[in-house]
This record gives sequence, C-alpha cells and structure tokens, in this order.
Amino acid sequence: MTGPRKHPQEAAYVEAFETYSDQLFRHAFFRLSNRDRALEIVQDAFLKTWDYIQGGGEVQSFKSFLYRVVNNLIIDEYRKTKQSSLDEMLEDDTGELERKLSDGSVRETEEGLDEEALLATIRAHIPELPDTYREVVTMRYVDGFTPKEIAGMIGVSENVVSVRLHRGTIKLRALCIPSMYNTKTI
Amino acid sequence: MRDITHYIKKATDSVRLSHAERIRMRNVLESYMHFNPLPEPVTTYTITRDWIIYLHRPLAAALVLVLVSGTGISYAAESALPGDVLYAVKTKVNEPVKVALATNAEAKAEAQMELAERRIEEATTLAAEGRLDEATQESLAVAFEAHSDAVTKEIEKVEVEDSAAPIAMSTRFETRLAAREEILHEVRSANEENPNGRFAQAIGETGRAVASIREHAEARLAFNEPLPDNFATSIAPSAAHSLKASGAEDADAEISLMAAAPAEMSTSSATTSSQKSDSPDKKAAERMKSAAEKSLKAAQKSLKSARVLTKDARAKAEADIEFSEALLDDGKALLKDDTREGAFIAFQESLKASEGAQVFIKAAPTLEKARARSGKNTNTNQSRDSSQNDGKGDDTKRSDNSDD
Repeated sequence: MTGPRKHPQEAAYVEAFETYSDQLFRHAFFRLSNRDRALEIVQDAFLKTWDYIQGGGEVQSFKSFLYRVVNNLIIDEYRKTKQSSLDEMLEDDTGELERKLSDGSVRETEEGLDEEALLATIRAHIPELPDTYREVVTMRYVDGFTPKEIAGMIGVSENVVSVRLHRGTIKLRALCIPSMYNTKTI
Repeated sequence: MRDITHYIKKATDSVRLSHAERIRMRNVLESYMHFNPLPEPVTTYTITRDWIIYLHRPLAAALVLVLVSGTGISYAAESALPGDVLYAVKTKVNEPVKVALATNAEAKAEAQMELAERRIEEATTLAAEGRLDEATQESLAVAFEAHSDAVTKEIEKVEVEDSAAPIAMSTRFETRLAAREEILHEVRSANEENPNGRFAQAIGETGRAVASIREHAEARLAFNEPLPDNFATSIAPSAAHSLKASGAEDADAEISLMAAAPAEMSTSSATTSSQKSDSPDKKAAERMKSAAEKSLKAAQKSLKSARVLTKDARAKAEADIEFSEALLDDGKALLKDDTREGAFIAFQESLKASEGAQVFIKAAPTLEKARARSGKNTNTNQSRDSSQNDGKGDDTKRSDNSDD
C-alpha cells in the first residue's frame, strides 16, 4: 500500500526522534542536572526543528542539527539562571571541592575503586563541572562526537575544544578522587 | 586504573527517557506535526513509520469527502462527537482550517481556545450520555493539551504589543476552563464515575499554567496610582466567586460590596488624576473594559437565544450576568475617577462573570441530561452504563494503550 504523499523530511524527522531522543535527553540531563528541564528542552528542540522544516528549511544531518538546537537552548537556560555560580564555586576552589567530596564519594579511594561505585561517582559529579567544560566533556565522552564535530557545533576552534576537554577531564577526575588530583591515573 | 574518560560513557549510558516520558513526548510531537503540517512535497516519498501514516490517513479521507460533497459535510461535522463518522472531518479539516484562517496571534489564541474548550465539551457530552471510555478520554485529553499549549504560546506572543491583551485572554481562558471543569466534574459525579480522571487533571494543569501567565502579565502591568487600602478587601470577595456553578447565591452580597467601592475611590484619586492622560495603564484599563463589554454582550446574547434552559438554570445565568453588569458599571465609575487599577480589576471580574455565564448557558442542557440520567439510574436501578465504568478507574496510566 502506498501512503499519502509525504514531505521527504517528515519520515526523517520521525526517525530522528526514535534514534536521537535518548542521547539528546542524556546530554541535556548532564548539562542541566534537572530531569524535567532536560525533558522540556529536548521536546522544545524537536518542536523547533519541525518549525524549521515547516518554514522551508532542509535538515541535512538531524543529529548535528538537533544537538545544535539543544545546545543553544541549554545556553539560553544558563543565561537565564545560574551561569556564573557553578563556575565560581568550582574554579580553583579546592577547599570547597574537598568539602563537597568529603560527604560520601571518597570512601572507595583508599582500598581501590570498585567499578560500579566509580561509575556512580562519575555520574554524580558530571553536573558539577563548570559548563564550559561540561559542554565539551558531555559531547565528547557521553555523545561520542569528535573534537572537530564539537568545534563546528559550538563555534570555537578545534584547539579550544581539545584544551577544554583536557582541563575538563582533569577537573572531573579531581572531583571524583581528590586525593589523586595530581596523579595520572584514577 | 585506566583514564577516567574510559568510564564516562559507561557511567552515563543508563540515563535515558523513561517509557512514559518517551510516549508523552511523542504524543506532543505528533499533535504538533498534525496541526502544523508540512507543505506537499514535489517528489513522492514512501514512509515506513506506521504512526505517521495513521496520523494522516483520516485527513486525506476527510479531504476527499469535502472535495466531493462540498461544504455540507463540513458543516454537518461540526456537531460530531468522537466515534462518529464525521468526527475526523471536524478535527482534521474544519478545525485546522479555522486556525489557519486566523491571522494574528490574538485570533490564533482565540481559535485554539475554542478548540481546547470543544474537547472538554465533547468529553462532557459523552460523559453525560455515559459513553466516555478510557481511550476516548485519553485522546481527547491529549488533543486538549495540544490546543491549550498553542493558546499559551500565542498569548505569550501577543504580550509585546499590548500589555492588557494577554491578561484579558488568560483571564478568559482560565475562567472558562474552571467553569467547564466544574461542569465536567458534576456530570461525571452524577454518573457515579470518578470525577478526577485524566481529563480533569489535564484541565487543572492547564488552568494553573494559564494562571501563571496571567500573574506574570499582571505583575508587569504597573499602575501609577496606589490603590486605597480598603480596595483589596472590598473587591476580594468577588474573586472567591470564581464562577463556580454554585456561586449564584453570593452574587447579591458581592454586588452591594462593589457598589460601595466607587464612592470610596473617588476621593483618594482626585488629587493625582490631573497628571495622567494616555498612559499605558489607562490604555490597559480601557482595553480590559472593552473585553468585558464584549463578553457581557456575548453572554446576554447567548442567554436570549438559549431555548432549552430550566427555570433554575436561567435564574442562575441571569444572576451571573447581572453581577457582571454591576461590576462593569463599577469599573466605569472608577475609570472616570481615574482609579485605573481599581477599574482594571472591576472590568476583569466582570469579564470573569460573563465568561462563566456563557459557559454555563451553553453547558446547562448537558448538565440537565446527566442529572436526568442519574435520577433514572437510581430510581429504576438500571445503572448499566455507569456500572460499566465502575472499577475501571480513570487514572490508568496514559502509556497503557498508546505504545506501539
């Protein structure tokens, strides 16, 4: 049976929802550390994408298009609320860092980390990264984009992405295991 | 141990949309796609996803129907209910056309508001006839939510141009929703069905969302003159009136309270009135006034043309309208004295009363039908229809039947 005539982008759009909604949600979730807002933002991104197609726009790659929209919405969200507070809190403030870590996640470091506990620790600490780092770390290691792709999406050079990735992972490691802050392994 | 980056992917993989979240989001997108369809493509294209085909098949069929038989079908479809053959024509052809014909944000909000209300009306009518099953309730609620979302989006667009317009619109919508919710509640209770079902929740949520838009808009609207201390207390009771279906008894008391207000106002505002002419707050009050007048006229007209109203229902509608008239007069007196905020609030309350009356007049026959049915059921002990619904519970999760 042949269905009614469809705009070619419509099927691709539906397919994109099935394929990317989880990843986009995961990305938004770790960027915002708020499940409800992450849901809203992903939905909003899909609605905006539909508007774009309806307005005559053509989406070549739904994946990078959707990521770009989600990323913009997250940045808007930060502008609206708490842009600087997280950065200030974490930027070179080891005392604060230490204090945050003392309540729970460090216990394992002494006797070597059990993998499950490590994963839980990482999950818990990603949202604490300053957003400049969280953006690239999430895109690189959660979503699996290459530094080049990330550079294209957030509008900075590939070098900047690499530097942020490097600093971001150091910071994350520091958040997870403060006692090993200066060592190469965790 | 290996580098931390090795573990990040693993650590975050478990975070994903829950089943219910995914379904809900898909529902929203489907409705959105449906109401904002893409233009016809230049080349043919086959699609694979079933749910999309499902979405548009009735639309195509309905279009053919309309083309073949002219406007007759389209007109006849206007009163169709879910389950009727012509219902698809109503929701997939007539209504999108109505929305498409609206040119500005205000008209669009207006059109979507009407459609959102229609869904409640349909649910109420079906409930009154004992035919509102779970699946129908679910799909009507989803459609209602889509229309309501569109309303709030459009209202927010209006904001920039005119500060009072969004307040008038959200006040109207909020009032009408509350009144309709009340009626649906009563119909379902009369049927001995769970009155707090899925649809009631959807209306409640929307009502709260609209109220917050209104409050935001109100907060932005700054009035120049301070309000006399006693004003808040004298006008507050009318807010409590809130157009519940049972509010008619209190109307008289409130009218007299309101009648007392203008006299108190005039002294306090006389001193400052000279410096203001066409300031934004005056415009806002004027704007609310014309919204209230328009609504009052509509209420009066619908009372006049209502043919099947019981004596009680007519009396209640008349009381509401009278109340609205009194508030409108109060507002005019306040405006004359340049107590703009007072005038604004009086007009707003008048608008609420008229809107509530309109909804009530329209829904009264349905309400009667439900009451008659429930009376019959209890008298003759033949509550077949309501017993079918017993025990099903209206709060079954929406994900139950919508997964594909």
